[in-house]
Amino acid sequence: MELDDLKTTWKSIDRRLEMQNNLQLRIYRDGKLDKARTNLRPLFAGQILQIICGALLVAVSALFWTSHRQELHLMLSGLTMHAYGILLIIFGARTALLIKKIDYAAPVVTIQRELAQLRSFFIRSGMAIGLVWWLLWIPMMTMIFGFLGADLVRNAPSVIYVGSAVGIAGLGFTYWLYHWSRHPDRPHLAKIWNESVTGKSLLKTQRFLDEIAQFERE
Amino acid sequence: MSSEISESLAQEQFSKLLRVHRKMVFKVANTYARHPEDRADLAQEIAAQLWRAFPAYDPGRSFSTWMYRIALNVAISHMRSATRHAAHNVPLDGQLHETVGGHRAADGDADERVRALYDFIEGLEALDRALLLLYLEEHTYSDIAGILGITETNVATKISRLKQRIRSEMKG
Repeated sequence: MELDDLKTTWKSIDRRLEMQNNLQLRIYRDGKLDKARTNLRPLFAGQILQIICGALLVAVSALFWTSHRQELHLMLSGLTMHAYGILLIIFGARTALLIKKIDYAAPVVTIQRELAQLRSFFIRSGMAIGLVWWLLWIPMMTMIFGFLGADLVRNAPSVIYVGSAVGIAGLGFTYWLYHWSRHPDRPHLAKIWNESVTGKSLLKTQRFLDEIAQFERE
Repeated sequence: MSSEISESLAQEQFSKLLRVHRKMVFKVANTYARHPEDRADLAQEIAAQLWRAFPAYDPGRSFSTWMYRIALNVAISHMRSATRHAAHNVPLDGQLHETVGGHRAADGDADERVRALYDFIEGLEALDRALLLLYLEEHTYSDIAGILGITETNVATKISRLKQRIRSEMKG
């Protein structure tokens, strides 16, 4: 069969469609014109929530470290959480802006690449935001106890030492495990990572970005 | 009050355009979704996205190009999202030799050809599907390049490769 033979077949579909008098598109379903569903809406809402959480964290942290300037460890805990709050805002705002920038009326390759880049950024920033909690719980707990009038570092330094050691080891172990599992000698471990939710999403996004690049190049 | 009137006029204008071009929406939906319910959902999703984008449509430009860009972008995203969630993992069964409205075609040979065409489409990557669809719709290389955002030379190269692939994969 030739490509042009397919045109005849395609036209037969066209004729069948023509016969379907009941072929309707109900954009006004439920009368909610402005509630057209898009896949990006929940993602956008999530970013707004993340920005709000970041702003609240910045406000609370700023309140904490400005009132504990005389205690270096407390001030540093507050500043760390303040910086994390800013990071939440930056990542959330960047993702939200990328979503807003998507114009479906732009050329297909352009938009598909922007969507894939958006997904890639979302996954990577999500991993960064999550992984730092191996250590971030320490300044967070220090700050919470500080608000309650207790000094976690002074009263229970072992919690900080052990917690820091476990956190650093956990972070290092995660990093090592990722690279170790990617070694060609351990395909079953690579498969486990690739089939995890994040691994699968990142892999698919990367593959699609490669597919777009190849489509443009040839 | 005046904004309600203008919205109502826009709705009317959009509905007319959508009626005229509705087959295009269904063809894109058929190309990217195999399950009948999924196809219907995708067609509605495309229509909804077209309506959302309609206020920004520039009447000085081709409505068909604008519509294809949106429809294809929505369809590719829908296809990728469906794959990601593995929610629409429909096997390559005989559903696509149904007519689009769900009725079987009377002509057995035509059925076979339609099935073969959709089986072939199913084996293509998302962007190649868009290319084939636009080619079968008899768009010029320049139009295809404009809709997809690649060069005309690239379109010509890819069409030529598709022809070779069809020859080798759809013998008989």
